[in-house]
Amino acid sequence: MSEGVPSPVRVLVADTDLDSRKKLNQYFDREGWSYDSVGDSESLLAALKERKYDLVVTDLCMPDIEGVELLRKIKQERPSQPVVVVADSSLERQANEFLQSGSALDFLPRPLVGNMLGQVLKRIARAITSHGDGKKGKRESVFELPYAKSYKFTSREYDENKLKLPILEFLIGSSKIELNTALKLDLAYQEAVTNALEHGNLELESVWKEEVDDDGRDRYSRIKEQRLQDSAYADRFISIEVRCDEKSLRICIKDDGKGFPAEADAPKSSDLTDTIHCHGRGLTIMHSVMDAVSYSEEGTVVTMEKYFE
Amino acid sequence: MDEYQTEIAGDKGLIKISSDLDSEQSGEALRKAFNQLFDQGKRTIVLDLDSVEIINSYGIGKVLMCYKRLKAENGVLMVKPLKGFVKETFELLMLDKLLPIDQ
Repeated sequence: MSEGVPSPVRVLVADTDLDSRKKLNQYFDREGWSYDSVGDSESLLAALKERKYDLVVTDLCMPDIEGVELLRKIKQERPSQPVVVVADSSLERQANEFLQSGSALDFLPRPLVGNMLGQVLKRIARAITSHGDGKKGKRESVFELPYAKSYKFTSREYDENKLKLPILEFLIGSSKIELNTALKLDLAYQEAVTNALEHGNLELESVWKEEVDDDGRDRYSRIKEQRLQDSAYADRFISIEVRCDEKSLRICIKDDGKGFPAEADAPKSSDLTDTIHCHGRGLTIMHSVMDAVSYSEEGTVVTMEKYFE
Repeated sequence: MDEYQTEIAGDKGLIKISSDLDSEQSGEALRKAFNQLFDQGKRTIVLDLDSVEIINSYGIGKVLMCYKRLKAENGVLMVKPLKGFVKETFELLMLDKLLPIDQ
C-alpha cells in the first residue's frame, strides 16, 4: 500500500471505457484498495444503494445518461458522496463546471496517465480517509452538525498516518469546503499535532535539526527516537477536541509538556531568517490556513478555527 | 518506481521527486538523492517538484538543508516552475525569494 494512505479506501469504479476501467482497477489492485467495478450507470446507482463507498470514480459520458443527471442521481442517493469524474480531455471545461459547483471533487482526463492518476487519487484518499480514534479500520459513516469529538493518546501511540480528521470527508461532501481547503486544513492540523508532540511532549528543540552527525543523522531525529522510548516523555498525553457547526470548524490540541512562551502567536512571515532557520514554519502554515490561531498563556493548548463562507 | 530520480545535465544536477514531501522517510530520500549529486561535485542542483502534491514543514526543512549546504559552498539550489499547493506554500514561507526558478 502506498505511504500516506494508511488503510484501504473503498471505491466504486464506473466506466464504460474498458481500457480506462482496466487501468483504474489495476491501480486499485496495486494500492491495495478495495473496489467494485461496473460498466454502466444503472449498475453504479444500484451499487450505491447497496453499500457506502468512500469514493466514486465515474465516467462522465456514459451513453445511457447525461453527466449532470448522473451526478444529480448520485447525490440524491448519497448526498455527501465524494466523486471524481473521468472524461476525455476535450471535456475538461464541462468537468471543471462540475468541480466548481461542488458536484465533483476532481477530474481525471482520458487517456488516464499513471502518474497523474496516482497523484489525484492519493490526494483525495488522504482527504477522505477517516481514522478518527486511531483504530485501524474503524470508520464513522454518519455526521451531523453540530459535531463534537475528542481524542486522547500518548506520544508513544501517535501515528500521523492513522490520525486523520474524519469530519473533513463530510465537509467536502456537503460542499462546506473544497478539496484543496480540506488538504490545507489537514496540513495545519498535522503541523499543530506535530508541534504538540515534538516540541511539547518530547521537548525537542528545532535547532537540533541543524546538528548533523558523521553518518548524516540530525540530532533532532536521534533524540526524538530516544524520547519515544523514554516513558517520562513517551507516556505524556495529547488531547484533541474537534467541534464543528454550520459556521465553523474548531480544533483544540493540548499537550502535557512544559509549555513555551506564546510569542509564537504571530509568526513574522516577513522575516526570511525564520524561514531559513528551522523554526516557525509550522506555525506560519497554521496561521495561513486557519482564520484564527491562539495559544493558552502557558503554551500547552492551541486552538485553531476555520470559518465557512 | 524510484521516487527520487537524479540526473545530470551539464553543470547542473536534477532531482525529480514524484512523491509527497511530508514525512521523515521522504525527507531522508531527498537527502540521499541530494548527497549523491553533491558528492559528485554538483553545486547547482535543481528540484523538480511538479509531481509533489503535498509538502509540510518537515519537507521544507529538508529543502532548506539542501539550500544551506549549497550556499555554504557558493552553490545554488533551484526549483523547476511550481504549481498548486506547493507553490502557495513556497510563497507563504518566502522560499520563492530564496530559490531561483530554473526555466
